[in-house]
Amino acid sequence: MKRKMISLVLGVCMMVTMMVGCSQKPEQLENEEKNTTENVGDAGEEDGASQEAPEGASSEEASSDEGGKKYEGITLSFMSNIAGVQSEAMEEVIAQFEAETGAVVEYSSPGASYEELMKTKMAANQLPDLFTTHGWSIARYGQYLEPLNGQEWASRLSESAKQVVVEASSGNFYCLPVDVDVAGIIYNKTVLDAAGVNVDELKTWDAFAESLGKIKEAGYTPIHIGGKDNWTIGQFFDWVAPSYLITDEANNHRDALKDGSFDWSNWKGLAQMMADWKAEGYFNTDCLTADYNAQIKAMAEDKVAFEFLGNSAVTEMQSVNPDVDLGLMSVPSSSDTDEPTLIGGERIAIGVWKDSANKEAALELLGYFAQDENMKNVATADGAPASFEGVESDTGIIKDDLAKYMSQCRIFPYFDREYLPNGMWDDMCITGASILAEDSGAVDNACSAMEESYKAKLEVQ
Amino acid sequence: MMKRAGKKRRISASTFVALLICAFHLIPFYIMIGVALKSPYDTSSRWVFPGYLFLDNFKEAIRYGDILKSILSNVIITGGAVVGITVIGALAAYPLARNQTKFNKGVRTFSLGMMMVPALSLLVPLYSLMVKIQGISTYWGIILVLVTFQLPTSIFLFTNFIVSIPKSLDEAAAIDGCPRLRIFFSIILPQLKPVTASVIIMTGVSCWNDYMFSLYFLQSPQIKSVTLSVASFFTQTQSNMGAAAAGALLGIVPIVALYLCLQKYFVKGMVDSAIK
Repeated sequence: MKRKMISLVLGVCMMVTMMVGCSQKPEQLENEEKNTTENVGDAGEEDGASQEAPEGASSEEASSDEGGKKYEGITLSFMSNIAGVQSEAMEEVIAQFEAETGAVVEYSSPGASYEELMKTKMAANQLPDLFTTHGWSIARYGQYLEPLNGQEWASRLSESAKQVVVEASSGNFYCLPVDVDVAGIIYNKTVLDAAGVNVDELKTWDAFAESLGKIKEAGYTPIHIGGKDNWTIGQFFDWVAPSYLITDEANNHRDALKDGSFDWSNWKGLAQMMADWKAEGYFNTDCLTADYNAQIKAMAEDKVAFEFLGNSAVTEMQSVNPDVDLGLMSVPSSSDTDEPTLIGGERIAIGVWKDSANKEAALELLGYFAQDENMKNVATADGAPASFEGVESDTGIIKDDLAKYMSQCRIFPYFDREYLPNGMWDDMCITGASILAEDSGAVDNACSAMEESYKAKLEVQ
Repeated sequence: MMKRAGKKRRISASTFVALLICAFHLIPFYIMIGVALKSPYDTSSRWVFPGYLFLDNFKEAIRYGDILKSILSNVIITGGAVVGITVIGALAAYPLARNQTKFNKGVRTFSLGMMMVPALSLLVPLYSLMVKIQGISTYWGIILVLVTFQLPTSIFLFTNFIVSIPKSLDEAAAIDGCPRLRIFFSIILPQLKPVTASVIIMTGVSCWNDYMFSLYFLQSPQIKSVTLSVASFFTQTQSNMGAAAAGALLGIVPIVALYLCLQKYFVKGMVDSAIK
């Protein structure tokens, strides 16, 4: 009996201790619940109206059913690397296509393993009818994709979209870029205000490094990297490398990188910059063990000043903390003679497999994505500028910054996609991780490892 | 008296170690439940359990991850695969265990050797073959692949177990005029209960948790495994941890229930195999 009592008391104590340590309901959640309760009455009134709409739609569907639909009986496979709200927006377009044409679209989004899956499919030459090209419509997927120059919508591509998707050698393009990825450095306005830093003054990396010192002194983490997901380290070089090697019109290595004559001792400048910043403590202390989610969380919680990520991260940071005050700045230059720039690439871009048995239907589905309203909706869900002239998407809180820098700055493609042979992304990530781990001779080793891999990969290309 | 106290101390020390191991194994579940019940706006540490009830992650897992449909698909795939693995495995193991000829030894070694071949190394030709025989995104396709890759384990376990059953049982039945196949089904099969439970649990868990084959061979949203549903909440640059945790939590329920039901046989099977 006594033992039972002791067990009971200990059990209760444990439960109480656990509950005391529990997290509180976040304010955002409480507000949402409050709003829901307040809106219950209104919703009840609106319900009647909203229920009528689907009925109307179904009757319309039924009438078109009688006439027989264009692609009845055809099944299209569509694979994408997109998830979340962007994926939902895409699925709405697909649903519209299915309802109007009678085709069935098997849309799947396998998540983080998308690239491996597509590589196997390419090796077996069995690709889906449509798929997203995640920045590789030319270099990786070009030979498998149908050229789209002849499509009705082709002439509407904006200049920034053309820069990203048109193959320089042939003038062909192989995907419909629903939106374009125009990226800079994401910053936290609250942190920069507290540290007294003005982003408009950060034109060069020297000025940028100086601001990192100020931010550190103010008690914040200057730059956060989630190196456990080592692509975030590669991303750092993708942002920094153009300013050292590409963007300076008077002194750049564009041709040398492409023809294989590039002197890799030039890589030392940017690798050393990373090493110096690490030594100064400008990166988060857990830069090798934190992951991408930690990066999002840290910025959303106003703990970090800068992150080198694409704009889709902004939406995610806002989903963690809707009140976070974020901005976008251009990427500084490495010398006074050069100007800050932006990074550009594909974002949501869809291609059609050239050997697809249902190419006509697939191209028509692509046409649906090219409709103004659909493009606007998908691009807005992605928080990125639409790729057609005259289509305005809502890019959220960074809208003004984007407009400002896009009018001022030149846009350069993602460094690895344009200037490095296929497969070198991993080398950037691995050598960067070694620098962040402060391995001895990591900077020199990074240069030699990059050179070795560059030469080996150029040979097999 | 001293001896008894010493024994008691030893027992309490081993109990403490066992509890510690249990706690260690429960940590991932604790974190998973915490994350599944936490609002995405809750930025507290994952070690901290939410002090409120938030079920939207489960709604999201069901609505966007199609987790219930995935569980049904998983039940069909795992059920089909486990039946194939046990039936074919037991039938193949019987002659291998009873007729220990050089050839059969070679077959056993070859089958064991197959366990060492990483499935990933065969992926491209296997994928091409599956495309050719139209096995992509079909139940029979994925079941065929899973059965193929799990059979060596099943054959290995069954063979070792059957070897330990006295041959005289077969001989007695044969003298009574019992045909070979009937000897297997009437005499041998009832003896295999414990090892069958082991095979079901071991191969069943790996079929249920399979990600790689499902990723490559199930591409239609109509047939989706639990692992694919959970993975769809993660991309290289996005993640919905709450919904993924909720989906994973729902996804492990059937396998935990099955384990609890077969636990007795599973432990017995393991112990019997160890003794024999």
